[in-house]
Amino acid sequence: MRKRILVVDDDEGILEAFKAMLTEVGYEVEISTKNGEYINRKIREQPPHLIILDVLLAGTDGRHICKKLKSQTKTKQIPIIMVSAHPDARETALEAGANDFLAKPFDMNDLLKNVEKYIDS
Amino acid sequence: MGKEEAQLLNVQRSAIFFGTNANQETSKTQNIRLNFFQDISDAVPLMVAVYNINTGEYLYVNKAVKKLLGYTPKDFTKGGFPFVVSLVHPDDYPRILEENNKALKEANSKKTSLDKDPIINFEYRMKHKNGSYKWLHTDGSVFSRGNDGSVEIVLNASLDITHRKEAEQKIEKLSKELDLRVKTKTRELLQMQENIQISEIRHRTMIEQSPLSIQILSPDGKTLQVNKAWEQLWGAKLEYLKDYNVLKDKQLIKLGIMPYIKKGFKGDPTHIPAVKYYPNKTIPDVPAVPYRWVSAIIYPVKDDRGKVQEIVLIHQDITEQKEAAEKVQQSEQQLQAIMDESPAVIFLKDLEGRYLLINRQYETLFKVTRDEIKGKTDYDLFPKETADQVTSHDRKVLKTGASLEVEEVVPHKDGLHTYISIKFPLYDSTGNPYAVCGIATDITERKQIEQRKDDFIALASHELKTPVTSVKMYAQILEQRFQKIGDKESTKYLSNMDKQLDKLVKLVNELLDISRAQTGKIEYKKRVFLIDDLIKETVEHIQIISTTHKLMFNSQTKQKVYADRDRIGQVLINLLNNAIKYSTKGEKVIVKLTKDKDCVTVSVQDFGFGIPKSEYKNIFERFYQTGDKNGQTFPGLGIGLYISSEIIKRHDGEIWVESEKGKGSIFFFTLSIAEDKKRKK
Repeated sequence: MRKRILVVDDDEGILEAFKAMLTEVGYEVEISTKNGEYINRKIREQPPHLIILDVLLAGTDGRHICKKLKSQTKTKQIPIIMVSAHPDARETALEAGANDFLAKPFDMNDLLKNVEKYIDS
Repeated sequence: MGKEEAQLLNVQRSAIFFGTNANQETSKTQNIRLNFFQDISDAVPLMVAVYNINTGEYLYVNKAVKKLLGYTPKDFTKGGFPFVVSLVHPDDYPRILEENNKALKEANSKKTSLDKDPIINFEYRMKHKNGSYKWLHTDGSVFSRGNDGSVEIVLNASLDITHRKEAEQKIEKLSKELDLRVKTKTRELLQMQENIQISEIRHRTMIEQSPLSIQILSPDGKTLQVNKAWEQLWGAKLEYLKDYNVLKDKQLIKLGIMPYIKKGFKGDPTHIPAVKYYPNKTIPDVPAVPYRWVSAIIYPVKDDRGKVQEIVLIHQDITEQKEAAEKVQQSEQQLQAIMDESPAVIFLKDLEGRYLLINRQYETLFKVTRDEIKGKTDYDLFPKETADQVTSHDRKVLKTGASLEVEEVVPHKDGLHTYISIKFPLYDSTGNPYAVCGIATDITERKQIEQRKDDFIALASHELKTPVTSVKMYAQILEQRFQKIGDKESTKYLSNMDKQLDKLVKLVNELLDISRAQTGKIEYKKRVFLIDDLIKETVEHIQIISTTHKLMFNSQTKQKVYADRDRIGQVLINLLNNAIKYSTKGEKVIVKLTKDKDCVTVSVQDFGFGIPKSEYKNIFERFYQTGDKNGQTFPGLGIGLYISSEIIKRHDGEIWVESEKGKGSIFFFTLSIAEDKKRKK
């Protein structure tokens, strides 16, 4: 079974690039710009194996989402990698419960290494 | 003629009458006549004595002798001439003897029996029986003559003139006394006059020589005298004042000082307040002296009865002082105007923090007047935190004696405002500080603008990175794909694209860094690490991507520092990149690490263009770029050194350069050695 990765980011260009990159190496990728309750529900219904989540989303703080997911029994075991164009977001992202953080723009190899690292946990 | 004198004359006449007939009669008739005469003469209050000058015999003395001299007629007739003579005052006798003889001589020479006048009259003293002397006026006349015609019998009629004589003597004495007194008085007066003259001379000299302008006036307001100083002060002479009356001086009336002058004229010494007087407005002949500021004293000179005789007016020329004071005032007004027009808040506080002076802007912003604020401190005007903050800055200024530029936050009605305050001490003439002066500019808006700018930059860099992220991802995907199918050329192209994207990201990051660095938003994550390792790593990393230069690092200190490893790495990268950038191919870059007491020093040396001494400070400034002599600029935003210097500053280190134009530069920075944890305990 292919591992499913959910990527949440408010930029469509990035989402497409993520999909291309991750599909290339064999993952099933679902992308979404939506946030808030929609995403929450979606995750509960169909829990992915890994979530890549942007810190700053339009209108919502990605960290809230992260915190919430990590606090819900159903979703807390899903590894979350948070990303941001702000290099300083690392600390707060980790505080929010993210498993790891990557600064945009990142090297493809770095990303893939991290995905591999967490997806099997 | 007096009563007594008349009587004397009558007696003498009768005597003559009887006497002239003497020769033609018998002695019997003579005796009858004599007795008749005696009766008459007894009734007369004069003393009458008839005597023979040859025999000295007193033929007759009347009863008045008793009253006059206290003797009886018998005493006289008995004693005769010698007795009578003995009664004469010794001082008078020689005189009357002489006069008597003279008179007789003269009478004898006339030899006529028609004598009607007395031949002699004299005054002398005779002793009264009680011992006191009486003055007698005696008229002697010829009573009868002998056959040869010479005088034989004389009749003396004497009047008691003691009182008159005494009176005369008294008068004479008084007269002499008076004379003496007059003489003395005259002498005194002359002396006084002389003294007065001397005094007047002295007085006049004093007035003349006095450096103060003196004008002497008569009570009617006219000028009597002026001294040299007066002439010099007003540029006028006494003649010009011929028609001048001070009490009618229109200029003085207008200046409002006539009441003071009138007071002086009335009799009260008065000080006349200072006025600005234009002499040529009142006295026509005065050449154009513009004006004089004078204050004056007016005092009356009174006589013994308190009546004003003269008025003295003394002027003091205070023009220079006034002008100096005016200059000072003008200077102060100038300063005040500049202060008040300034949009900055300006204030002065004393050593205890009490306000001395504020400008208009301060008054407007903090709703307090400059009079109200005097004596108050910041604790009276602001909440405690604000006052604490501000006061500590003031104290620092006084302590160091140097000026201080500092940000201060002060509450306004609409919230907190940020000021950039320049504070400095003020010194008095002895060189001691007496106040703190502050000039504060409201930078709240500027700060807000800066904040917005920085926010914008942050947002912009974030936004810029977003498309770059996806492009980079695609580039890498494609690179891999082409690599898989063996298309080396395409792979290379995509690899180049990737590198350029990295550069782009780097630039964007620099831009973000610079705004954050300035607002101090970079958070430094400090930890203890080995500086040697960091340098080694970084040098190796840069060497890999730099094919044109040789980087050398051979030092060792084995020292640990407490710092943000990434950021220090950033500094090192910046310096190494600069070294490579600013030197030509094939040259080396030497990195050294040394230990000095309690800090380490890292140096990066290149052999490139070098930096002129005048630029040493400038290169660490934001946005500064050096070019070489051809005006060539180098890629980059020119912010690397600025950020590096900010990073080092935030680590309490120092960063500087030593260079020689054309020979190369060495960049240094220092970091404190981390304290040994064991030693801390």
